[in-house]
Amino acid sequence: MSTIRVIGVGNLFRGDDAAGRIVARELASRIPSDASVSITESSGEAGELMESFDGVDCVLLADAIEANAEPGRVFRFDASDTPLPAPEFACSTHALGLSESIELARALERLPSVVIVYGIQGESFEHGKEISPAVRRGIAETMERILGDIGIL
Amino acid sequence: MPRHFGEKARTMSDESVPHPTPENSRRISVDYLARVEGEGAMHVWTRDGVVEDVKLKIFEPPRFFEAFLRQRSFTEAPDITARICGICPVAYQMSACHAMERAAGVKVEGPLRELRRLLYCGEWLESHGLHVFMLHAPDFLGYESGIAMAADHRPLVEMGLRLKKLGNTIGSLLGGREIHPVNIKVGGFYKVPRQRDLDSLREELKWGADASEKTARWAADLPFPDFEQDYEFVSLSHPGEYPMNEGRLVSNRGLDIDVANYEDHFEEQHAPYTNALHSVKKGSDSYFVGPMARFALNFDRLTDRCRSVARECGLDGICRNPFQSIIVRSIEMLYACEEALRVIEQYERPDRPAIDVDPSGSRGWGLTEAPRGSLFHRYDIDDDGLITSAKIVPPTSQNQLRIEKDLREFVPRYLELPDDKLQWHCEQAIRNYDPCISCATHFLKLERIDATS
Repeated sequence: MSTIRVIGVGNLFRGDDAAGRIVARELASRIPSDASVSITESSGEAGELMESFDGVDCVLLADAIEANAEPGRVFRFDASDTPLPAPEFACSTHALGLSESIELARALERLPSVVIVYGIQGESFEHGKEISPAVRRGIAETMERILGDIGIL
Repeated sequence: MPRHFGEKARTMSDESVPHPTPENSRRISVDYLARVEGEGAMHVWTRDGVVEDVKLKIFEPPRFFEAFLRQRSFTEAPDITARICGICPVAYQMSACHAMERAAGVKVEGPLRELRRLLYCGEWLESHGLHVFMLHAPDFLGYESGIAMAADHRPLVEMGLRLKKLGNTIGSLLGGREIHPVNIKVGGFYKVPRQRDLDSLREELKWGADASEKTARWAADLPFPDFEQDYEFVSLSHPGEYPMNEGRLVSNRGLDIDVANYEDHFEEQHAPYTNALHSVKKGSDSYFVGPMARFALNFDRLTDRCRSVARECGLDGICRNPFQSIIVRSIEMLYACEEALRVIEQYERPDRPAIDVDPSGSRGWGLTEAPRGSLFHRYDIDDDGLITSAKIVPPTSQNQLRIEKDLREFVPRYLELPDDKLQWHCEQAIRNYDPCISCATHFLKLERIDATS
């Protein structure tokens, strides 16, 4: 049985940038903790993210993105063999962003064999803002899709 | 195309910089500075082989931290200002704490002071580790990014990540978590570590010292352009130690002031083309803060090992070539490891995690050495302990004029290169300063602070 890790990425204090972390937080209460599925949150710092890749066969990541789409829309990317599309993930609020961390891990041969990234289009990334209602819906959709993935993988 | 400039969707429009571009002139624009924290843009205008103008622009939305701090309790300043930057939160916390303690007329001494140094060692390791290996090294090895470099230089990148992680580990141990430490308060800490917590760092710090030395020697052999400048270096200086938190602010041109007098000697100017502020030294001009300034002004307070490695790397007490700052940062990483080991060796757990501080009805100043240079804070606190005004001068706004001057000197030498090559060289000249553009962006309201002072 393959080991899976769900990683919610983001900044809890920058409005919709918290989306990925809320996905992880809310999934934690719905998925029984066992040896094959683990759930973690990450600020998106490259070293920390890369460590969260270690020791599992599959990672499912969730992060807020800016893809010039309607807020709350969910995109699913398979980064197992190819980099994430640049524009959507380029404007990370983190020093080395999610896509850089994945590519760095790939270059260092530390990337799990399956890497799925859910990007939730954000509405506002302002400091101190609440999650917007549209992104709330995106969070719920992402959770369902991740649960589906876990069932399949 | 080198790098990924074209891929950045949110670049600033050229129309925002009104400048003539006649036929015999050439304009190099870098609309996104890859590998610099935050976002920025650079414009260089030349005519007949002569550089006419250089502008460095910042286009991250202005941050309202100084305004946001008003009417907040003095105890909140460290945690609020820490959010200005994800790379150097400790520096913001330290400058804020020192300012409040100064206002209250108290000093944090003994083991609490030592723990602050240890925390700062962690931040220097984390920040320099990122810059040396992931941001700066690719410039010299000819890669467009640290990621592109990683496949060919795996041991080097792994070593850099491990050094950076060591810094993160120190930060987590003392700060409570890695990115935005929550355990720091005015007067000290919420909780102090036990000796055995600190002992757990020892072996990795010894490895870190060796790795940093190796890095400095490796960096010394990189191909550096011949680019020595006559800088006015400004940093803290302390009689008994290499400066992090305390000391007087000095320069190699005779400045020697109490940080309380900072605003008598330096002022911030608002250039129309950027929402970051340019800091200038009154009566002169640009100046230089950061590792090269600390190194030049405090060489004799480094450890024996740091000094001898520096000399073997060709830096005998001063470095005037900003490209060689990669060596200086490596030496500061070595210092951070050695200093952290010293603190751990001599640690005695304090009885209380913090001292009492009440700065009500007073004004305080704090200046500490962030990885990328001096970071100044000033606060006015009312009788209820609420902040009535705040001023924050980050290192990048202090270096910004100096960066532009370097570019004016640097560009003419490479004018014969095609645009993409010249652009790449210019980016490197900026990256030498490790500018944290997200820190440098804060909003100015000219009438606000001076009116109350």
